[in-house]
Amino acid sequence: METLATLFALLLPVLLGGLWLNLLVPAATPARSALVWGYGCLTGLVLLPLLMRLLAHLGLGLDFAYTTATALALALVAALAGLARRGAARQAPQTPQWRTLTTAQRALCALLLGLIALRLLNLGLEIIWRPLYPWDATMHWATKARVWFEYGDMVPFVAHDQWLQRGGEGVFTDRHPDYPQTVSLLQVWMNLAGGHWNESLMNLPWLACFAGLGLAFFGQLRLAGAGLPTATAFSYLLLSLPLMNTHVALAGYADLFMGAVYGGSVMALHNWMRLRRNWLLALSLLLAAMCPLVKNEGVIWALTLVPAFTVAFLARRDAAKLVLLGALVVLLLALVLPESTVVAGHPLQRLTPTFNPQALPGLVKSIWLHDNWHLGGYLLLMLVPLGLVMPGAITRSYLGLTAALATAVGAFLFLFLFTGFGWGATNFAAVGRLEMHLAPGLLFLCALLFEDLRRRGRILAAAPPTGL
Amino acid sequence: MLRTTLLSMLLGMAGLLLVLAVAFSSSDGGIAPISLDTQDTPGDASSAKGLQVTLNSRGIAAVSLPVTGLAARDYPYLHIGLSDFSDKLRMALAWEHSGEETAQVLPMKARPRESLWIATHEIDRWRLQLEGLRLVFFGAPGQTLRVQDFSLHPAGLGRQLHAMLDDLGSFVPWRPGNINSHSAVTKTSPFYPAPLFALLLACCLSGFALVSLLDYLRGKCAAPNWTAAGLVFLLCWVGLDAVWQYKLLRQLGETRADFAGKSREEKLLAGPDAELYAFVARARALMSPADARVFVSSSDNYTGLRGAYYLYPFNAYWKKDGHELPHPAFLRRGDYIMVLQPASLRVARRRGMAFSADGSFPVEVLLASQGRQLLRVL
Repeated sequence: METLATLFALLLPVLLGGLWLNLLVPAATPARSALVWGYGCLTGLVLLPLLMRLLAHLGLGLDFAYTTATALALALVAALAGLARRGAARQAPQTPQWRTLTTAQRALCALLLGLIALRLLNLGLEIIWRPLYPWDATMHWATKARVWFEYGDMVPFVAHDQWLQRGGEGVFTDRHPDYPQTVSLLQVWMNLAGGHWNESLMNLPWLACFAGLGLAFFGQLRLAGAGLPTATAFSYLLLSLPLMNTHVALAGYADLFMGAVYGGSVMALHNWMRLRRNWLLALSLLLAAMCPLVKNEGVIWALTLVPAFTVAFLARRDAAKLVLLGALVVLLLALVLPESTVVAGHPLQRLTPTFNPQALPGLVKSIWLHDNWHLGGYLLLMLVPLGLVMPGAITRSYLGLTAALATAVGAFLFLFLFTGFGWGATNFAAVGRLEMHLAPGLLFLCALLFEDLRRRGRILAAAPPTGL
Repeated sequence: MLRTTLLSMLLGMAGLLLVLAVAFSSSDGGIAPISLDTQDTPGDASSAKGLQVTLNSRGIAAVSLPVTGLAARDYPYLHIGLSDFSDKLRMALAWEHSGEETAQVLPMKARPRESLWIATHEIDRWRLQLEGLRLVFFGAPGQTLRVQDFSLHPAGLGRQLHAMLDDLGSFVPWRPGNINSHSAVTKTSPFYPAPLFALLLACCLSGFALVSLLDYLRGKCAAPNWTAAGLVFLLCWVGLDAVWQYKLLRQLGETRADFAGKSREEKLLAGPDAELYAFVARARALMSPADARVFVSSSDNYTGLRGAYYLYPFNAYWKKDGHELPHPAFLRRGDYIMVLQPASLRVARRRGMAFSADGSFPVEVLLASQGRQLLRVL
């Protein structure tokens, strides 16, 4: 019974998100299923907690029956609308590209899919067997889940001094009472389904998020024109990143969700800039809006899309001027605003620029010495310079994506090299996790550059060889 | 494309071996290995080979290598051979520097294995002259194992390769820091895996460049086959990922052995916080009402945060950094305080008083066990 309840709890947000994405994604879209269910999973995992918050705000508390009924009703509406649309428009049957692959390519794809399946099974079993393990999970994520589950309501969490002033009456406290509630509510949801506190099964959404990210990544690559073998290979690269795998196995942190949601947004943004289909813009904006619901720094990641939109609508020179002006405005605000002003969950005082050269070795080690990203750091070192010399690649084809990611990388470097957070790189306590927020987007860019390189190579190879 | 890929990989692997050979082929200078005599075990009537070792009542045993005034730099490799050992066995190396009394101890985090080569030149305290090298075992009292080999070796390419391969195949269970970073190395690792495979990649891509150039010169192609280059990269990645997947599977085996089939309570009593959780579980049974305030006093962050977590949904207060407890003026009659050592709060049980950094207040000790206490404020 608990198994069925757990499965239902895990599938409901996926179903909810998937059925609504089914309405958004046009019928004849390449890799449609991967996009619908990948993004459906990611959006559903954020939307369901939002629904729970709404119901709690309406005085209904955190209740399994109410949440299920509401979610199923919304899913039903989407399903009916989807059926109506399907009846109205018939899509032309598409020949699966699988049949056009050579035997070697099929063998490669099968091998990679097998490796992915093994990874998913491995990580899934770790979640099911292992009790809650990592540090922050028991310090400020699952703490809220535990209390909210027991009380059946979102009892407020406040800072320590406020808790003391109020004598703890009607309030609780932990290390970060102001952290977003999405991840904690997902854990509550899973426990509500099971009917009792189970700190192993409540982490299964991490596996779902991981799988959803893989599907979304694959779908966006196919939509961007990557061949099936390339898309499969890069999806395998993404899903085999060790630190990402660790965040699934030792579930309880929000960083995996952050990387998935931000990565999903920038990928959709890139394809919107290429294809100018409104549904992609809506998808990108939806996921960007979800970023702050996952982690406080999601605000910053969402804002990195602003330079991308700037280059999408303006000529490059004008866009550059506007971005520079924007940077100056940000600098001015940082100087003018009071130090106690909170930005992305941190007082401005902690973000005051102070050069931390000692953070640089930690940064370099975490990308190129440690095995957090396998050979991902080296892939960036190879492909980004190649992308810069390929005519029109970075400067035209991938300008928006590059603008967003370059802004994000700039913010990342600023945080560790020029603020009081340099310790997070020196002792590796935070740098790897923030790299995970950027990893899907950066790997997506690498995949595009590689596919571009391959295409240009094929054109050159088609020219008659001269030899000596 | 497959031909180009295969040739590139073969050339790359040959290139990597060449690089390693150049980097590590130093002469042993006629230095002979030093080995422990594992032939005779007093009182051991069995026909099994190796020195039988039995852990004492404290679960500790050691074997010593007879070294005096040994120049550390002459022996950059150490080999350990074991058999008939438990998976739960732990090991450490211990030695002294000549003229110093303080023992240098290096716990070995990786799980034991039948044959293990260690690059001692990677140990930062492996220097100067060494005295009394010991291999120390930790485990259950009465546990036995056999030491097949415990030896020191001079420099050599073969030993370096052994050490590298053994390190890649070694397994260290999850640690809390893994959520932040996966270094993939221990204190005795001779190489970081990612740069090692990046070096392999560089050699393979160099091979790819050579093959492509030859093909171009022979008129077989007008441009490099980037698909082949991608395949080379993918194969190098798969190789590195195979090491990671192996470690994940080993970890899964341990996780299964420790937790599979257990209830939540049983898992927590089998996990790394077993003693702490057992104490908190007993303490919870003594506390009421359900929303009672509980202050956690501990100067160890891990112990404090875990203690607080296990106390929820009691109204737990634990503050990282700064004073462990608020000023006594904030405490009320009926509040609970859980003291988890190490802690700065001092309790005079007979006097019924507790002493914090900000003052004292009357308490009653409800539970005390192995440095942990549950107090009620009076």
